[in-house]
Order: sequence, then structure tokens, then C-alpha cells
Amino acid sequence: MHESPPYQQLFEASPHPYLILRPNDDFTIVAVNEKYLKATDTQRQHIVGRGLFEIFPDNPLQAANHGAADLRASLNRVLSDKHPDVMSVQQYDIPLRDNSGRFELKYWSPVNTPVLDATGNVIYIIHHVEDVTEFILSRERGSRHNDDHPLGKITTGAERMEANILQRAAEVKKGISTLFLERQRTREQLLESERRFQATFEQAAVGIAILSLEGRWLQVNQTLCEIVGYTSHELMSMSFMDITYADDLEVDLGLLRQMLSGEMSTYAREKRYVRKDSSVLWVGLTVSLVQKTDHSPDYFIAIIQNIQARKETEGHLNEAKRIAHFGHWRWNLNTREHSWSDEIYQIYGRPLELPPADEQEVSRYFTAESWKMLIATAEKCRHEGVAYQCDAEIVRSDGNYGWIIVRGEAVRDAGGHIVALQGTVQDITERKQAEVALQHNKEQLRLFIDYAPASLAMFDRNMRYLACSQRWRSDYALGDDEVIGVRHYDVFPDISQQWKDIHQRCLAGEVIRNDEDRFERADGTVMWLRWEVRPWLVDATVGGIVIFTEDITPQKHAEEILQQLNLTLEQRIAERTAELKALNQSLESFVYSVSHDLKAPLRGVEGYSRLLEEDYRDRLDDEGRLFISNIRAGVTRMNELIDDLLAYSRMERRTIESNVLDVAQLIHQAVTECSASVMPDAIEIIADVPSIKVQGDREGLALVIRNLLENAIKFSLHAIHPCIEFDVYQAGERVVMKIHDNGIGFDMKYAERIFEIFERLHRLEDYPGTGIGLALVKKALQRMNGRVWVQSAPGQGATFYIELPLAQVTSNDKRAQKIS
Amino acid sequence: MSADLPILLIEDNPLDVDLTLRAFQRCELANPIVVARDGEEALAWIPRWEAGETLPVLILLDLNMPRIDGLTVLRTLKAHAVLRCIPIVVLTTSEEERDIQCAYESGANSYIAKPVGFDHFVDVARHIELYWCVINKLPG
Repeated sequence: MHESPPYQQLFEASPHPYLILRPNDDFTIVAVNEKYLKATDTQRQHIVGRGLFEIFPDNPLQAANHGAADLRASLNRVLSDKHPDVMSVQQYDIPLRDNSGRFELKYWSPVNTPVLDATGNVIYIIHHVEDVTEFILSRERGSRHNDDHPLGKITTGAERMEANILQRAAEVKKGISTLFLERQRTREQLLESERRFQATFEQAAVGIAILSLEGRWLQVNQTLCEIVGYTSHELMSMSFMDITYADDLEVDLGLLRQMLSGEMSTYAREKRYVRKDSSVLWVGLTVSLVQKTDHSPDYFIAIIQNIQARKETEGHLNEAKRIAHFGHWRWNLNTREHSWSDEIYQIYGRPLELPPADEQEVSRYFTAESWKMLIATAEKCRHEGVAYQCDAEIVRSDGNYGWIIVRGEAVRDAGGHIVALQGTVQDITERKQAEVALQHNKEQLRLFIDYAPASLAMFDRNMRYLACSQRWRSDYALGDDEVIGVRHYDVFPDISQQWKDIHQRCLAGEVIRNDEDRFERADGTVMWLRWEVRPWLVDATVGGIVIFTEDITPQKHAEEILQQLNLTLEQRIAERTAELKALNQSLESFVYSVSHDLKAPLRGVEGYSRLLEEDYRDRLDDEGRLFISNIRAGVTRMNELIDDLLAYSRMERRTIESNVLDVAQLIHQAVTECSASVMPDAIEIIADVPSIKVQGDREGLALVIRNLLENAIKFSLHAIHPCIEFDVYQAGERVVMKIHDNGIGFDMKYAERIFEIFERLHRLEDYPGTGIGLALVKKALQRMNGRVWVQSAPGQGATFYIELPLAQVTSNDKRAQKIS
Repeated sequence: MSADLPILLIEDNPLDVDLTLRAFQRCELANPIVVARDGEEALAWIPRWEAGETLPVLILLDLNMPRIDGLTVLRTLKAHAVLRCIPIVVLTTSEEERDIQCAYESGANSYIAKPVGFDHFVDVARHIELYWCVINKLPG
């Protein structure tokens, strides 16, 4: 609490005379100081409580005296204007207190000052006067002297002098009234200013208030009333503490104390009020301390602004930032200080209670590559003021990777120097992951298209290439030309209208294809294409088309050739058959000529050697006869060769019949034939075989068995006990006949060769033969759908096997069997 | 008896002609042998026969001959109204079934493969002459 200054003493000790008047009709004197009492030669008890004009009436002797009226007018002006009123110098004679009824001449310079209460009402008027009598009188004397009026002359007659003084007073009054008019104007200006201020105060869009040093509302405007919901009357009985939100009060009180202690003269902050309806409201508050002339605190002026909407927006913005993972940072280049919004902490995974990380720490939040890039762009921004934006990959404290987008710009001072960088950081990990996935997909798609084993290309709506396969490039001879982004029609300026129409139709949503399309190239060559054009869709709208083509010219040619082949096949078969027939005929005629042309001269040699032998035997010596004998042996051998060769060729081309044959019967027949001709008696033949029927050619099988038998006889002839054994058995649907001899045998390495024509293993003189017999056996069996093979070893004899199909017993055969 | 009637031998190969003549000589039978050296020469006999020349008791015909072969001669004679009665024995080297078949179809009266062995051939010649010139009866 401040001690009230000793106003009474100040009042009494003042060197100037004072009266304090009540603003009533009489202007009752409520107080007077010693100086006034002295100057007016009055007693306090005579004047306090009495009306001013009762104490100081007009001097009745002075007709021209308007002093009292002037004073009253001044006092009334003070009451109405509530402003100090300076009066012109007044002659106001003071009654002499010697009870003589005379007046003492006095000139006064009065000032009347209102004292207003809180509501602006005049509660007192301070009437203050200066005794300027001496001053006026000395001026009067000086002026006379200048006008060559002898001073003595003036002062001689009292009456005259009095008149002069009055005249002077009137003149002074006239000069002063000029001054007065100026003051009046100033006062009006002040009033105007004040009215304007009042209007501003009341009509201001912001709340304005004057508060006492204790925080009580002294004056509030309408806007503030609207902000807080109280009437001004209600507010006047309250302090700001009553409506301040509890959490904000502490700070307010602290700030007020700082102001009162002179640490600062003004402050601004955002705080909350509790409105009359209990709702909480954000306000922006600016408080200034108004000091008295002696610099002691007088009162507070507060400007209050409703910032609830902004706060809400800010709140929304913060919420948005939080949701968007959108943070703000600022880097003061001078202080090297960083400031981060909460979101940045969250993005980097740094605890909120820590200060922003230093550069070294921040570098660890990024992959090396991203950090390098960030530093480079930030440096550029710092030196050249280039704003930047880049994606960077971060490594969070939990080891997970993420992506952020960093934006930055330079902050310049008034001189244009870059003093700070500021910007934003946004977590775009999710989007980036989607992008990467998309990129990955795109890459896969690109690879797929690139290496597709088909000729395909993708276009946008303007027929610009989006992608094409390597096959496409090679099929259309694009080489390494960059076509992506280029219009198809610029790549192929000669493309036909027909194709363009197809493209347009597909861009309108159609799918068009052709499995076989014939194209004639510029050089006249014909090309066959299989193609398909179809639109590709993005969200159900056509994004472009895909063209797929396949050069089927080779297939087409092959098809054509095949068709041609089919057409000519019958003819070709006929031709080939005819050729074969001709060939066969020529072969037959060859064999025929061999048999005829070789036998004819042979017959000559035989005939004449025989004639020579018979008719000239006696005329030849022994040697001559030996020669004839050798000639005839050669003829015999030659005849055998020709006969075997004829038999072999006949077997090759004769018509094979399919008879049901009893192998046992054929064996017995062969044994009988051989016994009659070539069979030596010493050979034992065992042919006790079961009767099994086979399917075959009678003559062929007989030839086979006879040849094998003769073969067996020939090679077993020199054995001690020559023995040939037949066996026949059935093996499934086949029948096997086996003929075993105990002859000389042979090495199995010749097992195949012995069946070849003209192949012989022995000298002619040891084992005669043409080398055709076994070849004939093999040929005959081949033609009868059978086969032959042999098992042997040198000195161990040989076993020949033949195999033929089992006879198919038909009803006719059965009947034949019954009959027989 | 037709012992004095000629046998016509149609054979192009001179060795065969000679050997055939020798073989028939060895048979000691009487019929003379007239030789035509190819098909043309053989067919040239037709107008002479038609003109009244003595017809042969037997024709021995080789098949493989230059210019006009044996089968053509055979068919021509067998197509002749009068001459078709002359017995024709095909005497050839071929033993081909096809040749045999063709010969008979064309009207051959017999088919004999010439054996390579001369002794055998003499035996065959004897049989031929005996049968066709002695045993066999011809229309008057």
C-alpha cells in the first residue's frame, strides 16, 4: 500500500493563493490556504463555508467593473467544459478590512481548475489567483514615460489615475482576450481530440480498459464488455483476477509485479478469460503502465483482443500438423540454435523434453546418402537463398527406415542478409512405401514388357509410347532409338489411315483383333500379322492402348506349303508308287537279264567244254583233260551262284502267301529231300518235334528249313558223330524252331555277318557255298514276319533259331483238320 | 510220219543255235532244222507259208531277241488263222514264272528251260523231237 501524500500541508504551504470551491451556484468556499488569506487580507473563519461572491462582491464604486461577472462566467465554463479556465487579468479591488468601506486597487490573474471524480463530474474547482497588481502598475508607469507624460503628473490626481488604470486594464483585457481566443481554440481541439478518443475508446474493435494498480476495472469499453459478457457496471465492481482463467493467473500477477517494479513498462501475452456464461475464451492482451509525471505508477491501460477463432484455427492447424506428421523447424545461423515443433521430435523419434538435436546428432537420423544430399541443398539455400525441397530417407531410433520430405527457405533480415533457415519436415513414409511398391510394380511391369516374348507396345491417349518390348523394337527395326514419349505416328509417319482408325476405335474402348492379317510391305513383300489392340483402363477410363502383334509370316508360309503338300500328296504317292513300280520292274528285268544273259554264255562254256571232253578226249593229254575238268568245275560253281542269286532276288520280290503251316511236316519233308540228295549216311538227324502250326509262306519256310539243314550238314560233316537235332516250341503268340548241330561252330562276333549276302567264314575248298544261303533264310523270314538268330562258339556247334507267328486258327482250318 | 518235215528254230544267239543243232544231231532223229536268227526273220516266213511253202512240224522259239522278241512272234503266229496250229515250244534260258505265264497265255504249246549242262540239253532235245515229231499228231 502506498502512503497518501500530506495534501493538506502541500495546500497550505503552496506559495500560490488557492481557494477550493464547491461547484454549486454560490461557489461555496470549502478551503483556503494561508497565502490566499494573506493576499486578500481575510480571515479563514470569515470566508470558509460562504459563497465566493458573498465574500468578494463587485466594487460598487466602479461602474465599469465587470470583475465578478467575468469570474462567474469562467467558473461556469469550468463546470461545463471540465477544463481549466484561464481568465484575463482582472481588476478586482479588495475591500479594505479597516471597516472604512474603501477598496484597495488590485489586478489579478485568476485560473480556475476543475477537479473531476471517476465519472468525470466536477466535484471541486480550484480557484487560483496571482496578484499581478505590481506588474500592471509598473507597465502603466513605463508606458506613460514613453509617451512623454511626466510620471508625477499621472500620479498626482488619484481619480485621473484610476481612470487611466481602468483604461489600461481594458486594453490589457483586450490583448489578453486575443490570447484567450487562442487558448479557447486549443481547448476545443483538445476537446475534439478527447471526443475522438472517447469515440475510439467506445467504438474500438478491441477491448480497452483502464485498471487500477490493484487490478480493478476503472474504465472499460463496450467491446470488452461484449468479449467477457459482463456489463460495464458489473465489471466496475470486479478485478481482472475475477475473470482470469485459473491457470493463467499466476503468470499475470508475475508480469504485473515486474511492471510495478519498473522492470518493464508493457507486455503482451495470450491468456484465457472465463466469461460470465462460464465459457473459456482466448484473448490477446497488451498491458501498459501509465506513469505520473513523477514517474510513479498511475494506472494500467489494457488492450484485449478476442483470439478464440485464431486459437481454434491454430488448434486445428496443430491437429492437422500432428495428423499429417508435419513439423516446423528453424535454424538461426547466428546463434546456431535450432527450434523444432513437436512433430519433428516425433518424426525423428527424439524425446520431447530434450532440446533440438545438434547437427551431428541429426546426421545420424538419416542414411548417409540422404544426409549428404540434404547438407548440399541446405548449404546452397544458406549461401544463395535458394529454397529447396527434397525427399530423404531417415533411420528412426527403433532402427526402422522411413521417408520424409524436407522443405527449406532462407530468412533474411531487413538488410537482405540470410540470418536463418526455416522449413518443414513431413513424414511421407507411408506414401513413399506405396510409391516404392508402385515403382517396384512399374519396374516389374517394365521388365515384363521389355522381355516379353512377343511384340507389344503401350501407348497413352495421345499415342505416345509408354513402353515397348525388345521384340517390338526388333520387329519394327527401331534399333536403339528412344521412342518412349514419342508419338507412334512420328515414329512411323507412313502409317496407314486404316491403323489410325483402329487406334481411335480402341481408344474409345473397343478391343479389335485379327488372327491373320495380310500386309503388303512397301518393297512388295507380303507379311502376315496376328494382332490385337485393346484399351488399358485407369479407374474405368481409357488411359491408352496396348498393341500386340506377332509376325506369323513363317507359320503362314509353312501352312501354305503344308496345304500345297496335302494337295499334291496323293499325286506324289501315285508318282512315287509308279517310280517304285518302275524301279521294281527294272530290278526284275535286271535279275531276268542276269539269269538269261549270264546263263546263255555259261551254257556255251558248258556245252563246248562237254563236246571237247567227249569228242576230243583221245587227242588231249592228261593235263589237257585236267584243264577241261577245271573249266567244267568253274561252270558248275558259276551255275550255282546264278541259281542262288536268282532264288534270293525271287525271294525279295515274290508275293508272300500267308498259309497255316505245320513246322514238323516241313522239317520231315526237308530231311527226306536232303537224304535223297546230299545227306551222308553217317549223320544222325533227330526231328521228333511236336506238331505246331505257324502262319507263313509255304515255299519260303520250306526254303528256310532246307537251307538251314544243308548248312548244318555241311558244317557238322567232319564231326566224329555228326548229329543234327530239331526242336519246335511255342512262346506266347510266337513259335520257335531250333536246329542244333555239333559241327565246328564259330565265333559269336560273326553272328550278324553270317546272315549278310556273299559273307563266308571259310575257304571254298573246305566248305563249299555261295554265301547266299543264310542271307536267303534271313530275307525269307523278314518277309514272313519272322526272325532268325544263332548261338554258337568255335568247336561247340551252332544252334539256329527261327521264330514265326503262331497260326491263326480259323473255322475253315478247323473244318479242314476234321476232314483230314 | 513227219520225219521229213522241218523244225523251225528261232534263236538269235549263234552259240545257242550251234549247240541246239549239235544237241539235236546227237539224238539221231531225222527232221531237218531251219533257223530264223531273230523275230523279223521268223515273221518273214509267214508270207512264204501262206504262198504254199511247207509248214514246219514244230517251232522252237527263244524269247529274248533283238528287234521283235519271242512273245510277239508267238502272238502273231497264234493269231494267224492257219499258222496257229503249228506247235510252238518255247525254249529259253529264263525260268521266270512271269515268262512261263505269258508264254502259255500267248498260246505256247510247251515251255522248256534250256539246261546249262550239255548232256542234259541233249536229253531234252531227244525228248522234244520224239514227242513233237513222232508221238504228237497234228491236224491234216
